[in-house]
Amino acid sequence: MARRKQTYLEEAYEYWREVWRRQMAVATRRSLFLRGSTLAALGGASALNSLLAACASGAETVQREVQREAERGTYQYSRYPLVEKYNWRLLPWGGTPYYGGHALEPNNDPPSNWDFFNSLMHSHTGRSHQRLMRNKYGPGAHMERLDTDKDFEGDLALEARPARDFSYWDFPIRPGTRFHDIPPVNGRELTADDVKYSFDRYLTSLHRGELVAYLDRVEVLDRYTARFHMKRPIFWWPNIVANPAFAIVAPEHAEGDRDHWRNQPIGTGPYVVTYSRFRDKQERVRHPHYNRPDERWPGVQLPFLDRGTGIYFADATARKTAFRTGQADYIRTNDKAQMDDVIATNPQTRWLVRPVSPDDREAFMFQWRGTTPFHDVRVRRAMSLALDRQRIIDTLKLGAAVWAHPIAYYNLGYEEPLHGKELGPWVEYNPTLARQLLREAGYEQGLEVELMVSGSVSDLHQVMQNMFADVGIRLVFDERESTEFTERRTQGNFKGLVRIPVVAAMAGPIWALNYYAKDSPHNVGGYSDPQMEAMIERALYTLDADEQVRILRQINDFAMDQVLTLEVFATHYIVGFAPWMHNAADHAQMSFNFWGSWQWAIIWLDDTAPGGRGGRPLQL
Amino acid sequence: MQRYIIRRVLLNIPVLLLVIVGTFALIRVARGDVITAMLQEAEGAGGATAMQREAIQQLRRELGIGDPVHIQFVKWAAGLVRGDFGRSLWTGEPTWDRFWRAAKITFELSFIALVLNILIGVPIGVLSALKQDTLADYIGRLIAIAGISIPDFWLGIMALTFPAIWWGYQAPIGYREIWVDPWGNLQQFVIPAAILGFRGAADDMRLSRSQMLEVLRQDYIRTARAKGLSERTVIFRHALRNAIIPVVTLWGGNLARILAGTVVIEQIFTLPGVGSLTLNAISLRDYTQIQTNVMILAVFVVFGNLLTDITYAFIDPRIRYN
Repeated sequence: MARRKQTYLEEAYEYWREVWRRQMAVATRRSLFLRGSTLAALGGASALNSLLAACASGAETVQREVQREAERGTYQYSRYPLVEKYNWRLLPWGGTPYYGGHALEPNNDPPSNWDFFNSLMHSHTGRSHQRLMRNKYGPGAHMERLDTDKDFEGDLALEARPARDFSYWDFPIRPGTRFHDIPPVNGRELTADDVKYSFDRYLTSLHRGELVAYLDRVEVLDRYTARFHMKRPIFWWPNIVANPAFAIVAPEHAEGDRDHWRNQPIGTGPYVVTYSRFRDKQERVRHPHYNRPDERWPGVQLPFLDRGTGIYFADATARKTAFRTGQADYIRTNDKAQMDDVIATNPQTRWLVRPVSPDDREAFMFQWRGTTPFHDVRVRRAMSLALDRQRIIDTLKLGAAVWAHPIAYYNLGYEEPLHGKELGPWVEYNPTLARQLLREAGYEQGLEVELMVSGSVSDLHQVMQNMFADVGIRLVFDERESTEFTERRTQGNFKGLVRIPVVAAMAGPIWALNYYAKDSPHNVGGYSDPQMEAMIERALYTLDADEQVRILRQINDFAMDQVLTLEVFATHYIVGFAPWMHNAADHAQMSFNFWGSWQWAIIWLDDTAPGGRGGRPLQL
Repeated sequence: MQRYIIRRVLLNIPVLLLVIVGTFALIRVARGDVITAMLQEAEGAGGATAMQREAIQQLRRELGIGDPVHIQFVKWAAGLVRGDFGRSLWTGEPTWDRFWRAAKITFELSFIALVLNILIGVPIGVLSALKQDTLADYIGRLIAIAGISIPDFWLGIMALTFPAIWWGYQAPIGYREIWVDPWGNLQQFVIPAAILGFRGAADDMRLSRSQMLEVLRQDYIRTARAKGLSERTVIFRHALRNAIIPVVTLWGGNLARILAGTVVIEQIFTLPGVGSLTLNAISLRDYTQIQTNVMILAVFVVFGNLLTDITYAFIDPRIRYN
C-alpha cells in the first residue's frame, strides 16, 4: 500500500530538518532535533514558517542541493518520475520579496457574471473576495494534502471554534476588514451581519446546495462573531466554509441595482476588480486596505502585486505563444507533449507536476437503470480487467498520468494516488480472466456496449474499443454534440457507458456523495446500494477524523472491488512558471487554490519580468 | 425609380421576418439549452454544479426560457418593436451593447483586411500580367495559388507560433483600442487582417492578371502605344482602368468572406469581435445574443443587397422594373 501520510508537522519537520542541517553545515545531535520538533509542534505552523523565513536567504543553495539529489535519484519524493522530477519543493519559495508589478494570467478569464447566488463562482472569487477559512498555502505549508482538520486557517475569521459536540461553530471575524471602496458599499467595515446575510442566501442558492445542506441557520452573536448552527453535527465544516464559492458579500450590493451586482464585484479580497468582461479579460488593482496580514512577511501590506490582468484565450496556441513571449506568467496544461514543446523554447521555465486527484479523471459511469448487463459484477470486472491502464498512460499521455480511483488520495490518508494491486484484484490487465468472467456471466459470444461521447471519438475511446475487442466486448459509440451530451448525461439518458461528470470537492465524503449517493445529480447512471448509502452516511457524520479516513478507504475499496465506475486514468496536472514569478505553486485542489485563489496576495514578480512588469525588492 | 426602391424595400421585409423566425426556431431545435451550457461550463471550470431538477426549473423561469416557445417569441418580438433586443442569458447585459462593443473590433479588422486585400492583390496581379512568363509572374502566381489553398486557421496558427519561437515576438494580448494605444492596436490587427485579406488578395491577383492580359491585347491599347504614349500612361490610364472593373465587383464578395473569416481568426488572435461573440453565444446557447447578432447581420446583408440593387439601377437603367 502507499505510505501512510505523515502529519503536517512531521512532514514539515523532516523536510526542514534536512534543510537546516545543510544550511548550518554542522552535525546536529538528534536530541536537538527532537527538541526542535517539540517546539515546532507547540508553536504550530507559525514557528515553522518563522524557521523558513530565517532560512530564506540561503534557500537557493538548498534548492540546488535538493535538485542535485533529485537528479541523482537519492532524494525520493514520488514514485511517479515526472512528479519526482518536478515537485513543488523545488520551486523557489520565499527569498527576497518584490513589491509592485503587474501579473498577466492566461487562465483567469472572468465569469459571465458575478451573481454569487446564482452562478458557480469557486474559481473566480479568490482574488477579489474572502471566505471565512482558507487553505494553507505557500512556504511552510504542505501542498499535496487537504486534511479536513489540519490544513485550514482563518481568512476573514480569526479561527473556527466548534462546540464540544460540533452542534455549532463560532467564527470570530477579523476586525477592521474593509470592503473595496466602490458604491454602494464604499469601503465600509465587514461585520458578522454580512456573514449571516451571505450564508442565508447561500442556503437557497441553486449551486453548491449539497455543501450547505448541513447548515441550519446563522446567528450573529456580536458585531464580529457569527455562530453557525448545524442541522446535524459535522467536524469538517471549516472545510466547507473554506470553499471559495462561499465568499462573503455586502447585502446593500447584492440587494441593490441588479446590473451593478452582476457586473461589478465588491469584496474584501486582495484585489479590486476594475474591468470584467466575459470571454474577454479581467483587470484588477491592489486593495489598499486588504486586512489579512501574513506572519511570514510581518508588517507587509499585502498583496505584493500592484495589478493583475486575466485574459481569455479561446485558442491553446495563442495561450502558449503568450507564455513563450513573456506575455503570460504561467501556463497550465495536462499534456506532456505541450510541456516538452515549451521546454524546447523556454528552458528556464520552472515546472510543477502533480498527480491529479479524481476531480479530472477518465472514468466512466455505467447505466444501472433497466435491464443492463452491468448489474452483473462479473461483466463490470471483465471490462476493468480488459483495460491495460499502464499501456494507455504510456502511449496516450507519455507517462504523465496515474491510475484512477474515485476518492482523492489525500482524503484517503495517502501521499500519492494508489496504483496497481493497491487498487484491488480487478484493475491490473488480465484479458484471460476477463474472457473467463464474461463466459461465466453468460456472454460466450461477447456483448455490445454503447459509449456516449461528447463531440467526437477520442484516442482513448479508440484504444478502449481495441482492448475491449480482445476480450469479446464490442464498444460502439454514440457521438453527441457537447451541449446535447451534457443534457443527456444530466438526465441519465444514455444506454451503456458515459464519462463521469467532473466534480470538484474539498472534503472526502463529498466525492462519495456525488458519485454514489442515490439522489445525487452527479450519479447519472442511477446507481443505488443501501450498503454504500450507509457508508456515505457514516463518512459524512462521524466526528472522528481518523474514522472518516477509514470509512473513505472502505468506500474506495468497495467501489474498486465492485467496479462501480470504470476507472481508467487521471492525467498529471502540469504548470510552468516564468522564472520571474515567485511563491506560486499548485495545490492539491487546483481549482480552489491556485487559479481561483487568495494566494495571489503572496505571489510576486521579480525585476526580471519583461516590459517593466516586475516589482522592486522589498527590504523587510 | 421611387416605386422601384419602395418595392425593393417591401420585398426585403418578409426576408427579415423569415430570418427572425428562422433564427429563433433553429437555435431551439438544437438539443440542450443555456442551463445545460452552464452545467457544462461549470464542469470545464473544475466542478460540476449539483443542481437539482427543481433548481434547474427555477433558473429556467428566471431566465425566461421556461415559457412555451411561442410565448418566448412573442415577448422577444414585442421587445424588438420597442427597440429592446433583450439581455444576454449569461451576462445579463443588453445584447445590443455587447454586439456593438464587438462590432467595433470586427469592423476595424475587416476594414484593414479589405485594404490589405486590395493593396496586395491588385499590384501583384498587374505586375504578373506585365511580366508574363517571367520569374516575377511565376512568383506572383505561386502566391495566388498559396492564398487560395492555405486555410486561414493554419496560417493564423503559424503566424502566431513562429515569430514567438524565432524572435520571441507576439502582438500585445488583450484588445487595445485604437484611440488609446494606436501602436498596440496596429500590432494586434495587422497580422490577422493580412491573413484574412490574403485569400481575397489571391482572387484579386488572379482576376486582375487575367483581366490585364486580356485588356493589353485589345486594339485600343495598340492604338495608344502607336500614338506614342508612354508605357506608364498606357498601363495606368488605359489598361488598368478597364481591367480593374470586374475586380472591383469581387471586393463585395471578399468583404463577406472576410466577415465570415473573422469567426476563426478572432478566436486564434484573441480579439473579442462579433465572430467570437457569435461563436461563443452558439456554444453557450445564449439565445438572445444569437438572435440579436444574426438579426443585425441579416439587416446589414439585406441593406447591402438593397444598396447594390439601387446602385445597379442607377448605373444601368435597363434593369429597373417597369
